[in-house]
Amino acid sequence: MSVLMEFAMFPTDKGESVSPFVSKIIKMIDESGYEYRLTPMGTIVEADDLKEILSLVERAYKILEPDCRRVYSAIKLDIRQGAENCLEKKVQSVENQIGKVKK
Amino acid sequence: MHAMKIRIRLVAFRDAPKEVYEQARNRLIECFPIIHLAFVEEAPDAICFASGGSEQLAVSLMEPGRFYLLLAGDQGNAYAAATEVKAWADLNGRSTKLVTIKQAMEDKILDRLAGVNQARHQLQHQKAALIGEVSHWLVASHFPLSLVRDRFGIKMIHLPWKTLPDYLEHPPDEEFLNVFAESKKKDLEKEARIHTFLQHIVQEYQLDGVTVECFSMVKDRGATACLSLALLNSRNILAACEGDLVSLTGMMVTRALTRHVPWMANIASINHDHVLFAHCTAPLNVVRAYSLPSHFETDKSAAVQGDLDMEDVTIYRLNAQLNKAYIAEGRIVARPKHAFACRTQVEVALSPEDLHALREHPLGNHHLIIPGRYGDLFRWFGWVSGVQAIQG
Repeated sequence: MSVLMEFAMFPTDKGESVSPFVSKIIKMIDESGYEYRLTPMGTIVEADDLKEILSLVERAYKILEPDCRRVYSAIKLDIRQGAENCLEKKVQSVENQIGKVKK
Repeated sequence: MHAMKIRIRLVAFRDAPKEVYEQARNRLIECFPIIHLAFVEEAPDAICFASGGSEQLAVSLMEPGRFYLLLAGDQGNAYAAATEVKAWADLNGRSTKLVTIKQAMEDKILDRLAGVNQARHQLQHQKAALIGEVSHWLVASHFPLSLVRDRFGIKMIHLPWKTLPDYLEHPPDEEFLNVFAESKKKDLEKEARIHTFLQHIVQEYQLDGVTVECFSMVKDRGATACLSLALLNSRNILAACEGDLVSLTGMMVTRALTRHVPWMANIASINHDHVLFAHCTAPLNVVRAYSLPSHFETDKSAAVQGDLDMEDVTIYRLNAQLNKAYIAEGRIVARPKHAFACRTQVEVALSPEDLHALREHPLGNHHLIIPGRYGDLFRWFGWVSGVQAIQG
Protein backbone atom coordinates (compact mmCIF):
# COMPACT_ATOMS: atom_id res chain seq x y z
CA MET A 1 0.00 0.00 0.00
CA SER A 2 1.12 3.55 -0.61
CA VAL A 3 0.01 6.38 1.63
CA LEU A 4 1.06 9.75 0.26
CA MET A 5 0.60 12.76 2.48
CA GLU A 6 1.11 16.39 1.64
CA PHE A 7 1.25 18.34 4.83
CA ALA A 8 2.18 21.69 6.24
CA MET A 9 2.43 22.41 9.95
CA PHE A 10 3.45 25.62 11.63
CA PRO A 11 2.68 27.76 14.70
CA THR A 12 0.31 30.69 14.35
CA ASP A 13 1.63 32.55 17.39
CA LYS A 14 5.25 33.03 16.34
CA GLY A 15 5.14 35.88 13.86
CA GLU A 16 5.55 36.20 10.11
CA SER A 17 8.47 33.79 9.59
CA VAL A 18 8.12 30.28 10.94
CA SER A 19 11.00 28.53 9.16
CA PRO A 20 12.88 27.78 12.42
CA PHE A 21 9.91 25.70 13.53
CA VAL A 22 9.29 24.11 10.13
CA SER A 23 12.97 23.20 9.93
CA LYS A 24 12.76 21.17 13.13
CA ILE A 25 9.90 19.16 11.63
CA ILE A 26 11.72 18.63 8.34
CA LYS A 27 14.80 17.45 10.24
CA MET A 28 12.65 14.83 11.99
CA ILE A 29 11.17 13.70 8.66
CA ASP A 30 14.60 13.58 7.07
CA GLU A 31 15.88 11.35 9.87
CA SER A 32 12.74 9.19 9.91
CA GLY A 33 13.78 7.17 6.85
CA TYR A 34 10.54 7.86 4.96
CA GLU A 35 10.82 9.09 1.40
CA TYR A 36 9.80 12.75 1.14
CA ARG A 37 9.93 15.91 -0.95
CA LEU A 38 10.07 19.38 0.53
CA THR A 39 8.20 22.04 -1.46
CA PRO A 40 7.61 25.74 -0.68
CA MET A 41 3.99 25.02 0.26
CA GLY A 42 4.31 21.77 2.14
CA THR A 43 6.10 18.46 2.47
CA ILE A 44 5.08 15.27 0.70
CA VAL A 45 5.84 12.04 2.55
CA GLU A 46 5.18 8.42 1.57
CA ALA A 47 4.68 5.44 3.89
CA ASP A 48 3.21 1.94 3.61
CA ASP A 49 0.46 2.47 6.10
CA LEU A 50 -1.92 5.17 7.30
CA LYS A 51 -0.92 4.58 10.92
CA GLU A 52 2.73 5.29 10.09
CA ILE A 53 1.83 8.54 8.35
CA LEU A 54 -0.38 9.71 11.21
CA SER A 55 2.38 8.81 13.64
CA LEU A 56 4.67 11.18 11.74
CA VAL A 57 2.08 13.96 12.05
CA GLU A 58 1.95 13.36 15.79
CA ARG A 59 5.75 13.38 16.01
CA ALA A 60 5.75 16.69 14.12
CA TYR A 61 3.24 18.20 16.52
CA LYS A 62 5.21 16.97 19.54
CA ILE A 63 8.19 18.95 18.26
CA LEU A 64 6.19 22.20 18.26
CA GLU A 65 4.09 21.51 21.35
CA PRO A 66 6.56 22.71 24.02
CA ASP A 67 6.99 26.16 22.43
CA CYS A 68 3.75 26.86 20.58
CA ARG A 69 0.35 27.60 21.99
CA ARG A 70 -1.39 27.26 18.64
CA VAL A 71 -0.43 25.05 15.66
CA TYR A 72 -2.04 25.03 12.23
CA SER A 73 -1.79 22.05 9.93
CA ALA A 74 -3.15 21.24 6.47
CA ILE A 75 -3.05 17.61 5.41
CA LYS A 76 -3.96 15.86 2.14
CA LEU A 77 -3.81 12.10 1.72
CA ASP A 78 -3.72 9.75 -1.25
CA ILE A 79 -4.15 6.17 -0.01
CA ARG A 80 -3.71 3.58 -2.72
CA GLN A 81 -3.82 -0.17 -2.17
CA GLY A 82 -1.49 -2.40 -4.15
CA ALA A 83 0.79 0.49 -5.05
CA GLU A 84 4.20 1.64 -3.92
CA ASN A 85 6.68 4.39 -4.71
CA CYS A 86 3.88 6.75 -5.75
CA LEU A 87 6.05 9.74 -4.86
CA GLU A 88 8.03 8.96 -8.02
CA LYS A 89 5.41 7.20 -10.08
CA LYS A 90 2.75 9.93 -10.07
CA VAL A 91 5.23 12.39 -11.53
CA GLN A 92 6.54 9.77 -13.97
CA SER A 93 3.02 9.18 -15.26
CA VAL A 94 2.84 12.84 -16.25
CA GLU A 95 6.37 12.82 -17.68
CA ASN A 96 5.51 9.78 -19.76
CA GLN A 97 2.90 11.92 -21.50
CA ILE A 98 4.65 15.26 -21.86
CA GLY A 99 8.35 14.59 -21.20
CA LYS A 100 10.53 15.80 -18.35
CA VAL A 101 9.08 18.47 -16.09
CA LYS A 102 10.65 20.77 -13.49
CA LYS A 103 10.76 19.23 -10.01
CA MET B 1 16.47 -21.39 -5.45
CA HIS B 2 16.82 -18.30 -7.62
CA ALA B 3 14.58 -17.32 -10.51
CA MET B 4 17.33 -17.73 -13.10
CA LYS B 5 16.62 -14.81 -15.39
CA ILE B 6 19.20 -12.79 -17.29
CA ARG B 7 18.42 -10.03 -19.79
CA ILE B 8 20.83 -10.35 -22.72
CA ARG B 9 21.39 -8.05 -25.66
CA LEU B 10 23.21 -9.53 -28.66
CA VAL B 11 25.46 -7.16 -30.59
CA ALA B 12 27.22 -7.66 -33.94
CA PHE B 13 28.65 -5.58 -36.78
CA ARG B 14 26.40 -3.10 -38.63
CA ASP B 15 23.94 -4.80 -41.02
CA ALA B 16 25.03 -8.25 -39.81
CA PRO B 17 22.87 -10.99 -41.33
CA LYS B 18 20.25 -12.62 -39.15
CA GLU B 19 22.32 -15.81 -39.04
CA VAL B 20 25.09 -14.13 -36.97
CA TYR B 21 22.58 -13.32 -34.25
CA GLU B 22 20.85 -16.70 -34.53
CA GLN B 23 24.14 -18.52 -34.12
CA ALA B 24 25.06 -16.55 -30.98
CA ARG B 25 21.59 -16.96 -29.57
CA ASN B 26 21.60 -20.73 -30.09
CA ARG B 27 25.05 -21.06 -28.54
CA LEU B 28 23.90 -19.22 -25.40
CA ILE B 29 20.77 -21.35 -25.07
CA GLU B 30 22.88 -24.47 -25.50
CA CYS B 31 25.49 -23.35 -22.96
CA PHE B 32 23.06 -22.13 -20.30
CA PRO B 33 20.09 -24.50 -20.44
CA ILE B 34 18.75 -23.90 -16.93
CA ILE B 35 18.88 -20.11 -17.00
CA HIS B 36 16.00 -18.12 -18.40
CA LEU B 37 17.69 -15.96 -21.03
CA ALA B 38 15.54 -13.04 -22.05
CA PHE B 39 16.86 -11.61 -25.33
CA VAL B 40 16.09 -7.90 -25.09
CA GLU B 41 16.77 -4.67 -26.96
CA GLU B 42 17.11 -2.37 -23.93
CA ALA B 43 18.36 -2.43 -20.33
CA PRO B 44 20.35 -5.67 -20.54
CA ASP B 45 22.24 -7.33 -17.67
CA ALA B 46 24.69 -8.81 -20.17
CA ILE B 47 25.90 -7.78 -23.60
CA CYS B 48 26.89 -10.71 -25.77
CA PHE B 49 29.33 -9.97 -28.59
CA ALA B 50 28.48 -12.09 -31.61
CA SER B 51 31.22 -10.55 -33.76
CA GLY B 52 33.71 -7.72 -34.13
CA GLY B 53 32.51 -4.33 -35.34
CA SER B 54 29.92 -4.26 -32.55
CA GLU B 55 31.66 -1.72 -30.31
CA GLN B 56 29.59 1.39 -31.08
CA LEU B 57 26.33 -0.48 -30.62
CA ALA B 58 27.54 -1.94 -27.32
CA VAL B 59 28.61 1.38 -25.78
CA SER B 60 25.33 3.00 -26.85
CA LEU B 61 23.53 0.52 -24.58
CA MET B 62 25.58 1.20 -21.46
CA GLU B 63 24.02 3.64 -19.03
CA PRO B 64 25.97 5.23 -16.18
CA GLY B 65 25.56 3.66 -12.76
CA ARG B 66 24.71 0.18 -14.04
CA PHE B 67 26.74 -3.02 -14.16
CA TYR B 68 27.11 -4.97 -17.43
CA LEU B 69 28.48 -8.44 -17.98
CA LEU B 70 30.36 -8.47 -21.28
CA LEU B 71 30.08 -11.96 -22.79
CA ALA B 72 32.30 -12.75 -25.72
CA GLY B 73 32.23 -15.62 -28.14
CA ASP B 74 35.52 -16.90 -29.54
CA GLN B 75 34.89 -16.26 -33.22
CA GLY B 76 34.91 -13.33 -35.62
CA ASN B 77 36.81 -10.96 -33.34
CA ALA B 78 34.02 -10.98 -30.79
CA TYR B 79 36.51 -11.02 -27.91
CA ALA B 80 38.53 -8.22 -29.51
CA ALA B 81 35.41 -6.05 -29.68
CA ALA B 82 34.50 -6.85 -26.10
CA THR B 83 38.01 -5.88 -24.98
CA GLU B 84 37.71 -2.49 -26.68
CA VAL B 85 34.33 -1.94 -25.02
CA LYS B 86 35.70 -3.01 -21.63
CA ALA B 87 38.43 -0.35 -21.99
CA TRP B 88 35.79 2.27 -22.92
CA ALA B 89 33.74 1.24 -19.89
CA ASP B 90 36.75 1.64 -17.58
CA LEU B 91 37.47 5.08 -19.03
CA ASN B 92 33.86 6.19 -18.74
CA GLY B 93 33.00 4.90 -15.29
CA ARG B 94 30.82 1.94 -16.28
CA SER B 95 31.13 -1.17 -14.12
CA THR B 96 31.74 -4.30 -16.21
CA LYS B 97 33.19 -7.80 -16.18
CA LEU B 98 34.46 -9.34 -19.39
CA VAL B 99 34.32 -13.12 -19.71
CA THR B 100 34.17 -15.62 -22.54
CA ILE B 101 31.06 -17.71 -22.95
CA LYS B 102 33.14 -20.79 -22.09
CA GLN B 103 34.42 -19.20 -18.87
CA ALA B 104 30.91 -18.06 -17.95
CA MET B 105 29.72 -21.63 -18.40
CA GLU B 106 32.55 -23.26 -16.44
CA ASP B 107 32.44 -20.79 -13.56
CA LYS B 108 28.61 -20.61 -13.47
CA ILE B 109 28.84 -16.85 -13.86
CA LEU B 110 25.33 -16.41 -15.22
CA ASP B 111 23.97 -18.36 -12.25
CA ARG B 112 25.74 -15.95 -9.92
CA LEU B 113 24.52 -12.91 -11.79
CA ALA B 114 20.97 -14.24 -11.75
CA GLY B 115 21.27 -14.89 -8.00
CA VAL B 116 22.57 -11.38 -7.42
CA ASN B 117 19.78 -9.86 -9.52
CA GLN B 118 17.21 -11.86 -7.58
CA ALA B 119 18.72 -10.69 -4.27
CA ARG B 120 18.75 -7.06 -5.40
CA HIS B 121 15.13 -7.34 -6.49
CA GLN B 122 14.21 -8.87 -3.13
CA LEU B 123 15.96 -6.10 -1.19
CA GLN B 124 13.89 -3.49 -3.01
CA HIS B 125 10.78 -4.90 -1.34
CA GLN B 126 12.19 -5.08 2.17
CA LYS B 127 11.57 -2.86 5.12
CA ALA B 128 13.51 -2.52 8.35
CA ALA B 129 13.57 -0.28 11.39
CA LEU B 130 15.97 1.31 13.82
CA ILE B 131 14.35 0.99 17.25
CA GLY B 132 15.72 3.66 19.58
CA GLU B 133 18.99 5.27 18.50
CA VAL B 134 22.29 4.07 17.09
CA SER B 135 24.56 3.38 20.09
CA HIS B 136 26.94 6.29 20.56
CA TRP B 137 30.05 4.08 20.37
CA LEU B 138 29.21 2.95 16.83
CA VAL B 139 31.08 5.85 15.33
CA ALA B 140 31.75 4.02 12.03
CA SER B 141 28.38 2.31 11.67
CA HIS B 142 25.98 5.20 11.30
CA PHE B 143 24.42 6.65 8.14
CA PRO B 144 21.38 8.68 7.12
CA LEU B 145 18.52 6.21 6.64
CA SER B 146 17.93 7.46 3.11
CA LEU B 147 21.34 6.02 2.11
CA VAL B 148 20.23 2.40 2.37
CA ARG B 149 17.22 3.15 0.19
CA ASP B 150 19.38 4.91 -2.37
CA ARG B 151 22.01 2.14 -2.44
CA PHE B 152 19.91 -1.03 -2.16
CA GLY B 153 16.26 0.04 -2.24
CA ILE B 154 15.65 -1.07 1.35
CA LYS B 155 13.15 1.05 3.26
CA MET B 156 14.60 1.74 6.69
CA ILE B 157 12.59 3.76 9.17
CA HIS B 158 13.40 5.27 12.55
CA LEU B 159 11.20 4.44 15.54
CA PRO B 160 12.41 6.55 18.50
CA TRP B 161 11.66 5.16 21.96
CA LYS B 162 9.36 8.08 22.79
CA THR B 163 7.02 7.14 19.93
CA LEU B 164 6.73 3.52 21.07
CA PRO B 165 4.83 1.95 23.95
CA ASP B 166 6.74 0.87 27.06
CA TYR B 167 8.25 -2.51 26.26
CA LEU B 168 7.79 -3.85 29.79
CA GLU B 169 4.07 -3.15 29.71
CA HIS B 170 3.59 -5.92 27.16
CA PRO B 171 2.64 -9.39 28.45
CA PRO B 172 5.41 -12.03 28.51
CA ASP B 173 5.54 -14.03 25.29
CA GLU B 174 4.52 -17.64 25.95
CA GLU B 175 6.54 -19.11 23.11
CA PHE B 176 9.63 -17.29 24.34
CA LEU B 177 9.18 -18.72 27.85
CA ASN B 178 8.67 -22.23 26.42
CA VAL B 179 11.75 -22.03 24.20
CA PHE B 180 13.98 -20.96 27.07
CA ALA B 181 12.28 -23.09 29.77
CA GLU B 182 14.94 -25.81 29.46
CA SER B 183 17.74 -23.36 30.14
CA LYS B 184 16.87 -23.41 33.88
CA LYS B 185 17.28 -19.65 33.97
CA LYS B 186 14.72 -18.71 36.56
CA ASP B 187 13.33 -15.30 35.86
CA LEU B 188 13.01 -14.34 32.21
CA GLU B 189 9.75 -12.45 32.52
CA LYS B 190 11.16 -9.06 31.54
CA GLU B 191 13.03 -10.56 28.60
CA ALA B 192 9.81 -12.30 27.49
CA ARG B 193 7.99 -8.95 27.62
CA ILE B 194 10.68 -7.42 25.44
CA HIS B 195 10.10 -10.24 22.96
CA THR B 196 6.35 -9.51 22.82
CA PHE B 197 7.15 -5.85 22.27
CA LEU B 198 9.62 -6.50 19.45
CA GLN B 199 7.29 -8.98 17.75
CA HIS B 200 4.50 -6.44 17.99
CA ILE B 201 6.66 -3.78 16.30
CA VAL B 202 7.72 -6.21 13.57
CA GLN B 203 4.08 -7.08 12.84
CA GLU B 204 2.69 -3.57 13.11
CA TYR B 205 5.24 -2.07 10.72
CA GLN B 206 5.55 -5.22 8.59
CA LEU B 207 9.29 -5.34 9.04
CA ASP B 208 11.82 -7.78 7.61
CA GLY B 209 14.47 -6.69 10.09
CA VAL B 210 15.18 -4.53 13.11
CA THR B 211 18.18 -3.10 14.86
CA VAL B 212 17.62 -2.33 18.52
CA GLU B 213 19.34 0.13 20.83
CA CYS B 214 19.58 -2.63 23.40
CA PHE B 215 22.08 -1.35 25.97
CA SER B 216 19.65 1.30 27.22
CA MET B 217 17.26 -1.55 28.07
CA VAL B 218 19.78 -3.14 30.41
CA LYS B 219 20.84 0.18 31.87
CA ASP B 220 17.33 1.56 32.42
CA ARG B 221 15.30 -1.58 33.14
CA GLY B 222 17.78 -4.35 33.89
CA ALA B 223 16.75 -6.61 31.01
CA THR B 224 18.59 -7.47 27.79
CA ALA B 225 17.16 -8.04 24.34
CA CYS B 226 19.83 -10.70 23.61
CA LEU B 227 17.44 -13.64 23.88
CA SER B 228 14.68 -11.97 21.91
CA LEU B 229 17.10 -11.04 19.13
CA ALA B 230 18.35 -14.65 19.08
CA LEU B 231 14.81 -15.95 18.78
CA LEU B 232 13.78 -13.41 16.14
CA ASN B 233 16.82 -14.31 14.05
CA SER B 234 16.06 -18.00 14.31
CA ARG B 235 12.49 -17.20 13.17
CA ASN B 236 13.96 -15.47 10.10
CA ILE B 237 13.31 -11.91 11.33
CA LEU B 238 16.68 -10.21 11.04
CA ALA B 239 17.60 -8.63 14.36
CA ALA B 240 20.79 -6.65 14.97
CA CYS B 241 22.13 -5.30 18.26
CA GLU B 242 23.07 -1.82 19.49
CA GLY B 243 21.11 0.02 16.79
CA ASP B 244 23.84 -0.90 14.31
CA LEU B 245 22.56 0.16 10.89
CA VAL B 246 25.51 -1.21 8.93
CA SER B 247 25.16 -4.67 10.45
CA LEU B 248 21.42 -4.77 9.82
CA THR B 249 21.99 -3.76 6.20
CA GLY B 250 24.66 -6.43 5.83
CA MET B 251 22.32 -9.00 7.37
CA MET B 252 19.64 -8.11 4.83
CA VAL B 253 22.09 -8.39 1.95
CA THR B 254 23.37 -11.69 3.33
CA ARG B 255 19.95 -13.28 3.64
CA ALA B 256 18.88 -12.09 0.20
CA LEU B 257 22.04 -13.57 -1.34
CA THR B 258 22.54 -16.77 0.65
CA ARG B 259 19.24 -17.42 2.46
CA HIS B 260 21.24 -17.62 5.72
CA VAL B 261 20.66 -15.43 8.75
CA PRO B 262 24.20 -14.46 9.79
CA TRP B 263 25.67 -14.21 13.25
CA MET B 264 26.63 -10.65 14.16
CA ALA B 265 29.75 -10.48 16.32
CA ASN B 266 32.48 -8.26 17.72
CA ILE B 267 36.11 -8.68 16.81
CA ALA B 268 37.34 -9.57 20.29
CA SER B 269 40.97 -10.08 19.24
CA ILE B 270 43.20 -10.90 16.28
CA ASN B 271 46.37 -12.95 16.48
CA HIS B 272 48.82 -14.23 13.85
CA ASP B 273 46.46 -16.71 12.18
CA HIS B 274 42.95 -16.28 13.50
CA VAL B 275 40.30 -13.88 14.76
CA LEU B 276 38.25 -14.29 17.90
CA PHE B 277 34.65 -13.27 17.26
CA ALA B 278 32.29 -12.90 20.18
CA HIS B 279 28.81 -11.59 20.98
CA CYS B 280 26.10 -12.06 23.55
CA THR B 281 23.50 -13.32 21.14
CA ALA B 282 23.33 -15.76 18.23
CA PRO B 283 20.43 -17.12 16.17
CA LEU B 284 19.29 -20.20 18.08
CA ASN B 285 19.15 -22.27 14.91
CA VAL B 286 22.89 -21.86 14.28
CA VAL B 287 24.00 -23.09 17.69
CA ARG B 288 24.24 -26.77 18.62
CA ALA B 289 23.74 -26.18 22.32
CA TYR B 290 23.52 -23.10 24.45
CA SER B 291 23.30 -21.80 28.00
CA LEU B 292 22.09 -18.45 29.29
CA PRO B 293 24.73 -16.73 31.43
CA SER B 294 24.49 -13.04 32.26
CA HIS B 295 25.16 -10.36 29.65
CA PHE B 296 28.95 -9.82 29.40
CA GLU B 297 29.40 -6.06 29.76
CA THR B 298 26.70 -5.48 32.38
CA ASP B 299 26.66 -8.87 34.12
CA LYS B 300 22.88 -8.52 34.20
CA SER B 301 19.89 -10.34 32.72
CA ALA B 302 20.67 -13.11 30.19
CA ALA B 303 22.76 -13.69 27.08
CA VAL B 304 23.25 -16.61 24.70
CA GLN B 305 26.42 -18.65 25.08
CA GLY B 306 26.26 -21.15 22.25
CA ASP B 307 28.40 -23.56 20.26
CA LEU B 308 28.17 -22.27 16.73
CA ASP B 309 27.16 -25.05 14.37
CA MET B 310 29.36 -23.99 11.45
CA GLU B 311 32.70 -25.11 10.04
CA ASP B 312 33.58 -23.17 6.86
CA VAL B 313 32.40 -19.59 7.13
CA THR B 314 32.24 -16.33 5.22
CA ILE B 315 32.93 -13.05 7.02
CA TYR B 316 31.13 -9.98 5.67
CA ARG B 317 31.02 -6.33 6.66
CA LEU B 318 29.95 -3.16 4.83
CA ASN B 319 31.30 0.32 5.51
CA ALA B 320 29.12 3.23 6.60
CA GLN B 321 28.93 4.62 3.05
CA LEU B 322 27.71 1.19 1.88
CA ASN B 323 30.20 1.28 -0.98
CA LYS B 324 32.94 -0.96 0.43
CA ALA B 325 32.87 -4.42 1.93
CA TYR B 326 35.18 -6.76 3.78
CA ILE B 327 34.74 -10.28 2.41
CA ALA B 328 36.74 -13.26 3.65
CA GLU B 329 36.35 -17.01 3.79
CA GLY B 330 37.71 -19.00 6.71
CA ARG B 331 37.28 -21.96 8.97
CA ILE B 332 36.22 -22.19 12.60
CA VAL B 333 39.10 -23.68 14.57
CA ALA B 334 37.88 -23.29 18.15
CA ARG B 335 34.78 -22.47 20.19
CA PRO B 336 36.24 -21.08 23.41
CA LYS B 337 34.46 -19.74 26.46
CA HIS B 338 36.83 -17.01 27.57
CA ALA B 339 35.71 -14.93 30.54
CA PHE B 340 37.08 -11.75 28.93
CA ALA B 341 34.70 -11.58 25.94
CA CYS B 342 31.03 -11.69 25.01
CA ARG B 343 29.42 -15.05 25.62
CA THR B 344 29.21 -16.85 22.26
CA GLN B 345 32.72 -17.13 20.85
CA VAL B 346 34.51 -18.65 17.86
CA GLU B 347 38.04 -18.52 16.53
CA VAL B 348 38.13 -18.28 12.75
CA ALA B 349 41.32 -19.03 10.81
CA LEU B 350 41.79 -16.59 7.91
CA SER B 351 44.44 -16.06 5.26
CA PRO B 352 47.29 -13.65 6.10
CA GLU B 353 45.89 -11.17 3.52
CA ASP B 354 42.43 -11.23 5.06
CA LEU B 355 43.84 -10.84 8.57
CA HIS B 356 45.96 -7.93 7.37
CA ALA B 357 42.92 -6.19 5.89
CA LEU B 358 41.03 -6.68 9.12
CA ARG B 359 43.89 -5.26 11.17
CA GLU B 360 44.91 -2.40 8.94
CA HIS B 361 41.70 -1.35 7.20
CA PRO B 362 38.74 -2.42 9.34
CA LEU B 363 35.37 -1.08 8.23
CA GLY B 364 34.04 -1.29 11.77
CA ASN B 365 33.85 -3.65 14.72
CA HIS B 366 30.77 -5.78 14.06
CA HIS B 367 31.18 -8.44 11.40
CA LEU B 368 28.75 -11.03 10.09
CA ILE B 369 29.62 -14.72 10.17
CA ILE B 370 27.79 -16.84 7.63
CA PRO B 371 27.93 -20.63 7.35
CA GLY B 372 29.50 -21.75 4.07
CA ARG B 373 31.80 -20.21 1.49
CA TYR B 374 30.09 -17.34 -0.30
CA GLY B 375 32.98 -14.98 -0.98
CA ASP B 376 32.50 -15.14 -4.72
CA LEU B 377 28.77 -14.41 -4.48
CA PHE B 378 29.38 -11.38 -2.23
CA ARG B 379 32.03 -10.11 -4.67
CA TRP B 380 29.55 -10.42 -7.55
CA PHE B 381 26.97 -8.58 -5.50
CA GLY B 382 29.56 -5.86 -4.99
CA TRP B 383 30.40 -5.54 -8.68
CA VAL B 384 26.75 -5.28 -9.64
CA SER B 385 25.83 -2.98 -6.74
CA GLY B 386 28.87 -0.71 -6.66
CA VAL B 387 30.32 -2.14 -3.43
CA GLN B 388 34.09 -2.46 -3.66
CA ALA B 389 35.71 -5.39 -1.85
CA ILE B 390 38.64 -4.18 0.24
CA GLN B 391 41.93 -5.98 -0.34
CA GLY B 392 44.36 -7.30 2.25
